[in-house]
Amino acid sequence: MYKLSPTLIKLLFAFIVCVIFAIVIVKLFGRSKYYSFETLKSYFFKKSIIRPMSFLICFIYFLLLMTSLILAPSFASIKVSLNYAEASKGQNMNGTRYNMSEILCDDVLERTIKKGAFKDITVDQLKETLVVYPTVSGSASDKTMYHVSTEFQIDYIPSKDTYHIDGEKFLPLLSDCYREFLIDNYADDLDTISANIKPEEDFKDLGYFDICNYLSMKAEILENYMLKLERENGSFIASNGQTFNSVASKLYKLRSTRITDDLYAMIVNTGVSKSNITDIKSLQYEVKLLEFEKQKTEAGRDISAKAVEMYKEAMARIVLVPTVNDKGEFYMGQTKIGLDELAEESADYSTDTASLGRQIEDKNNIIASIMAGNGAKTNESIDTLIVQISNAINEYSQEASQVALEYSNKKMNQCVTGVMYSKSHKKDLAISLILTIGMFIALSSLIATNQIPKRETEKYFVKTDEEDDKTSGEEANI
Amino acid sequence: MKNFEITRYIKKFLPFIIIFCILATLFVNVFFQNRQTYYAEAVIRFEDPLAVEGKTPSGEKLDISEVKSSAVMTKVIENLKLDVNEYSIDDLISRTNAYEVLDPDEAALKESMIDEAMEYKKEPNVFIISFSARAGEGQGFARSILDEILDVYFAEYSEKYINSEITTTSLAEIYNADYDYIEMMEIASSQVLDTLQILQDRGANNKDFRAASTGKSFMDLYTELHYIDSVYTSRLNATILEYQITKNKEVLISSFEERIRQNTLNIGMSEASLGDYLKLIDQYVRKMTASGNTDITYEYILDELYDDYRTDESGNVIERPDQTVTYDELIYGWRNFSLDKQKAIIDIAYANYIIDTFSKCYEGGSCSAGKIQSCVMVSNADYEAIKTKLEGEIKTMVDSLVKIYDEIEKTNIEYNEYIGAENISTLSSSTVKQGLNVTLYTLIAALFFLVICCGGAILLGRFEDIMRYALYTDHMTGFDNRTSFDNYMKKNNGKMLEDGTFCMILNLKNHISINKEFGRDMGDNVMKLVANVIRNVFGKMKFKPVYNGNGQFIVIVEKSDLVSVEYIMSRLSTLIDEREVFTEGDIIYDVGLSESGKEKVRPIRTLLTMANKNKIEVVSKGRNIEE
Repeated sequence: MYKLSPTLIKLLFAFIVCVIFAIVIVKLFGRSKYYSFETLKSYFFKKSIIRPMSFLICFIYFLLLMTSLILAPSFASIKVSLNYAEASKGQNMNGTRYNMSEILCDDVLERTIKKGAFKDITVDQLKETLVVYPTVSGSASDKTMYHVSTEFQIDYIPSKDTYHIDGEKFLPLLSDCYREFLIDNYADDLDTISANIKPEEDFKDLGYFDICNYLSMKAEILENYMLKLERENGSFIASNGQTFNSVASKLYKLRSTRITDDLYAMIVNTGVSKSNITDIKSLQYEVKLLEFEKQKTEAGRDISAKAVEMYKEAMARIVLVPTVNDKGEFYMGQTKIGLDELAEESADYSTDTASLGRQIEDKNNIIASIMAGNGAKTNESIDTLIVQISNAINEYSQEASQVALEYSNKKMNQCVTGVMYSKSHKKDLAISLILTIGMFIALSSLIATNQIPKRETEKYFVKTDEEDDKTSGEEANI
Repeated sequence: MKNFEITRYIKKFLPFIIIFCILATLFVNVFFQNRQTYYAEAVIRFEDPLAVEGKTPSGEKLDISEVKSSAVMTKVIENLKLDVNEYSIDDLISRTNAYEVLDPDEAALKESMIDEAMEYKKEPNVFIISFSARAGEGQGFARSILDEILDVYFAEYSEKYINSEITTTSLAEIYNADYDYIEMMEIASSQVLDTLQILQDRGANNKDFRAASTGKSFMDLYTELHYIDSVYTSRLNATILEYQITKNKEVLISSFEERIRQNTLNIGMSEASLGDYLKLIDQYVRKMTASGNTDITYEYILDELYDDYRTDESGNVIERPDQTVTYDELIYGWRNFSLDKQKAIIDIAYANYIIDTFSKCYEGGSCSAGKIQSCVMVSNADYEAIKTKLEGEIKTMVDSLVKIYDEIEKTNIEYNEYIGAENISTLSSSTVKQGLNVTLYTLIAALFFLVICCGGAILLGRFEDIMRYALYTDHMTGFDNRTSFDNYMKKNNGKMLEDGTFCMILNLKNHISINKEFGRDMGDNVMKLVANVIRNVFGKMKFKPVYNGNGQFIVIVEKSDLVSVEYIMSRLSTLIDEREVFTEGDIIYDVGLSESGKEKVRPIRTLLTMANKNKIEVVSKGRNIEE
């Protein structure tokens, strides 16, 4: 239903009063040619101008006006408060800079339109009716007046396109949508820890080593997530009694014991391979690359060692420096020279060489194991283990999701609160009374004006033509 | 002419003054409201310890004017979808300002240190950023632009001085450049290795950062990328090498032969340099030892650190020179060339391995394959199927990499915003103040109009006095003249008179004979006498005295009563009789009176006619004649 805005309603009712006054003024202007001000004034102070009909009309006028104002979609405001910890630093929940303008961004308004099922309204039309500003505004010119706003007021002033939208229903919806927007864009995304591994489907194209790596990766991501939340709030306990640390511990144990110690070990020891030739070739290629890499680190190690050997004692000049060690104990350090760097470098290369050598040996062992596996493509125990580990990850994922979700709900549910400013009809009542009084005066003035006789009916001016001629002649003499 | 009375003039025009002042003030108010400009301001502080030295975290000079750089404004326009025809980059730049905030304590400290001839090194790290909105744009516009400028600047600052972008190019390009399969894998592997290193470093340094847009941390991305690399890279490379899969064997082998040639050249260069370095080191040690410079004990150690940094004119350090001693430089040089040589040798070995792999014949003996085709290509019937499968797998791998690189990019963008907000804190969020104090200007305008109107009223009033005296006043009697009376009659013609309105006509009948007998002066004196008497008897009543010429006086009196007027008439007669001038002759006059109420007369002309009709002759005897 098409509704008028309160301002338009007030203007319309005021216009009626103005029209009546205009009629009065026009009539008075006409009479003023024939009557003095005093005469005209006298008509306005007669008791006869106050009629019961005027009271009745004014009563109806008042009722109509008040009813229209109460039913009209009117100016409404809501106070949106940011209640998360980072807000006082002018930041979003994820630590990025907070931008107040996002309260009325296209995304939020689109969500509001969709959620409220508002028809025939666009984001731009809605944007024109909304104003957002901080409830408390500081000042940049005075240090003591610096203020980071965490409360904002949104004013809704209906336009002709949005008359059908009631501000009191619309603004809380907008506040809710803004909260959703903030959570979607700046809060933790729990999708990362939702795992639903289906071994038969997910692993049908993967080799056993790839499956092992995949399971390890999944468990590690979940564990990292839990550890991050644990650092954020280590004391949080979910309704199921789980903490971030307890879930992280489970995942760590799963990764280190079940995946690395059990699954990986079994794959290596049994030499099972879904595609043994490809696996062997891949491993051989990796070994080849590692050997090249190892050659480089060996060269680096030898060259650095040679450089240390070349370094002449006479050129090695150092100064002792009193300092403390990592335990806070006094320690006699020394200034570094090139010799130190070369020695450290050589040691690093040596470590890398050893590490690469270990990797090569490991891969060679796996190759040997696969070769000794007599082409076995599957292993029931390994398959069972994979299913068990997958189920465990799925289970831990659910636990992690529950703990994280409860924590997120606790943290985010109240991250944005909207409080409507209650709509008061006191002002409407006052304006209605003023307009009604105006209406009463206008009506009474109209009655008074109608009581003033027109010139044609004025008896003092009813003269014969003869009298007119006579009067004219006498005036001429004067 | 009437006396100069300011209050009279103002009082006369008071309604006009009030109406004009109100309307003009309203107009001024609306005018300024429409031309109101708004300034949005925010206070930011650079939190990095180097900021107080005027530097960014990367050590470069902190330049706050970058907040209004073209790069920032371009993104602001793009993000806010501003109309480029209306808002240009230069326009936004010109409306943005950034200036330092000097803390009063710091200012005092700076002053006192300068007074004491001490060096004050601290640079400002708190700044006010402002944006001005033009008339009609509104305060919301000013605030939203400023917020967007700060958002973009925070991210830009972080990207430029703290965190760099992760290169994600060339992955999608590897198809377009028509690389051979082994080269495609080399490019992908190289990029993945670089990215893994970056992700590992960032993950280790930012354990608590997790992007809301992707839900992932750098370590998560590292783990996922590592997994993709482990699944595809070695397997696909092994397949390429095992089945000698190539687009053109000749081009591929040429490419690796060129690598061998380049590396051989590098080895030659390194060997030459190594010989030189060894000689140089030997000579250097010998000379230094011979000179005694190496016989250093603790007494030779300087008490303070040697910090002869290169400074600018203001004494700010602009460069920390490398203080590594020459001997170490020589040793490092030898080491670097040795390493380069060894790496080149290993790269040659790798290139030979690839060439051998693609050149060898799997059938034993010489191969029937030509220059372009490999042995497997010719001998293995499944080659095409394997090749197609490989291409599909490479595509799958690249798609997976592109997907994860997209997440890396999103995470990195958010990380830039995060690290920007960490390094630049908001001390005061954007506030908006008005450019014009409309209330003050309106008040000033109201006062101005009041003064102008009062002045105008005084001028007009006085001018009217002058005009009235010149045109509508009988100079001899001081009464309104005939012209004035005619206007009065026209104005009131048709208006209905109130009860209590009187018209008196006094017609001096013998003033012509007085003029003839006693002279014009005496005649004038008689006129003045009558005028004074009329003025005297009507006193403070609301009356309009008119001298109508030819010895005729007319007086219109309003709001009076018959008793009062009749008393006035008798007093008028008495005063003329008791006159002090022209006592030597008679004054003969007609006097007529009419009243609106009693005679039910409403038009003024009728009242005048009635007064004229009611005239009676009165003779005021001269006292000297009787004597």
